Amino acid sequence: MIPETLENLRMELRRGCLAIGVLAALRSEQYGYTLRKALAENGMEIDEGTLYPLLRRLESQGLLTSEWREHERRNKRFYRLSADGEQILTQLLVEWRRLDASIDAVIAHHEQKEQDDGSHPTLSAGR
Amino acid sequence: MDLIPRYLQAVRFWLPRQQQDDIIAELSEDIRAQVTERAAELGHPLAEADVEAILRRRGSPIQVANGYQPQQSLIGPTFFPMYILVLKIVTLFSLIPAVVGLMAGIVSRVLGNVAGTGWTPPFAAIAGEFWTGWFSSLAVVTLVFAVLERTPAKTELFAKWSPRKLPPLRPAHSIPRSSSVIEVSVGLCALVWWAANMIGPLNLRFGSLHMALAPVWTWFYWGVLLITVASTAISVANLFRPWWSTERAVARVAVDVTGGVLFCLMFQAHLVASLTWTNATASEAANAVAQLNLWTGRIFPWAIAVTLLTTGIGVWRLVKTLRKTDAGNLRAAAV
Repeated sequence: MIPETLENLRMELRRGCLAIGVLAALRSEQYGYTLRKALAENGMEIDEGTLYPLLRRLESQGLLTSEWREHERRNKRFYRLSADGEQILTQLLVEWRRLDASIDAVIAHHEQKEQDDGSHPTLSAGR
Repeated sequence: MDLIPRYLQAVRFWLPRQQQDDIIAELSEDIRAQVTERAAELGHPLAEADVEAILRRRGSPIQVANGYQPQQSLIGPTFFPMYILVLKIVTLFSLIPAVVGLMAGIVSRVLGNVAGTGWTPPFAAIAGEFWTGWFSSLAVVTLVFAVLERTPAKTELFAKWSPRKLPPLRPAHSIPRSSSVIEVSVGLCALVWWAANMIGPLNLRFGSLHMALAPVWTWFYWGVLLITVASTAISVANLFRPWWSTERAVARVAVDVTGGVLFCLMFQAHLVASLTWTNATASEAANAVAQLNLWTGRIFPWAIAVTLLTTGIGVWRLVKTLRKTDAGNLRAAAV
């Protein structure tokens, strides 16, 4: 039950983060395969079944543009952040950092309270 | 080795028609790039098993294609709780006539067999009608909710709500007045009928069949009468004070337990003294009485089970009432 709950919460957490990661990575033009590898190299593993539908969704929302172009004698679809995408990404990053700071503040508050109560802090592990 | 074209063909089948070519071209290029990279890692062209492993890791064609579809549901999360509630109500109302029909059928069969008429009630027809009615109702309800889901009614319905129109607070352990009205009506009718028709010594007649009950019936007659009076009195009290008090919950459990015990004893009391019917010999009649009493004796364990169940429900209600009373007191103290 607990591992399943953890997995579900992890998936929920990742869902929003993946969109930010993809938008950020597409500040420079890339096609799907290289994008996936670039994300994986930076610790953001994403499978094809998630990446390509996400790219299409972001494109249909006007955050990405794409074009088919020949590259290394193969036709590939290149994606890039649109002007609207740039704006949205900026706002999302502000929100992301605000959330991160809020979580840090909540954890710090909790740890301070535990220290005052004489118990041991536990939440900061891994941060 | 045609695994990749076959895979792409299968994915294409499940894709929206207008996007098929575009998605398949991109997917095809992605798989090709992955195959090329894997072959470079291994230092030789991929065998069929290697390609199969790559495709398996990507997921089944229908899963892959589904990723490109917008999230779809026949009935969305907004209406779903309401939909489930309506389905439960529909199921209940479909079951009631079926259960009544089955019970009537069982009684008719028992009496028919005893009286020698040999009538068999249409159990299959009752069950068939239940299934047909139930499935039709479910289909209609599902259709109505599916249509509601796709009309502006959904947003209008939930946009217009007002906190002032919310139902008033219910007492922690309320009793619906409609239940009390039904209980009082049924109780009074049962009382009148029982007092008028079941007083001993009792001779029952079903067509050509005559059944005389044993003198012990008098005890059961008065027992049932008193229990029905007590039960109806509780229902009358519930009608005017529509919430469970500890006293009335205890009284209800006591009445249920007493009624249950009486009900169980009926199956062990050899109530049938004699049976006679047209052209019956004395030995046939005696044998029928013995058989009837034997069968009622065999029902005894089931009667105990029903009694335990009824008692359990009553005790559960009592515990719930007490618990809610405690919680209410705590809340009041907190305010």
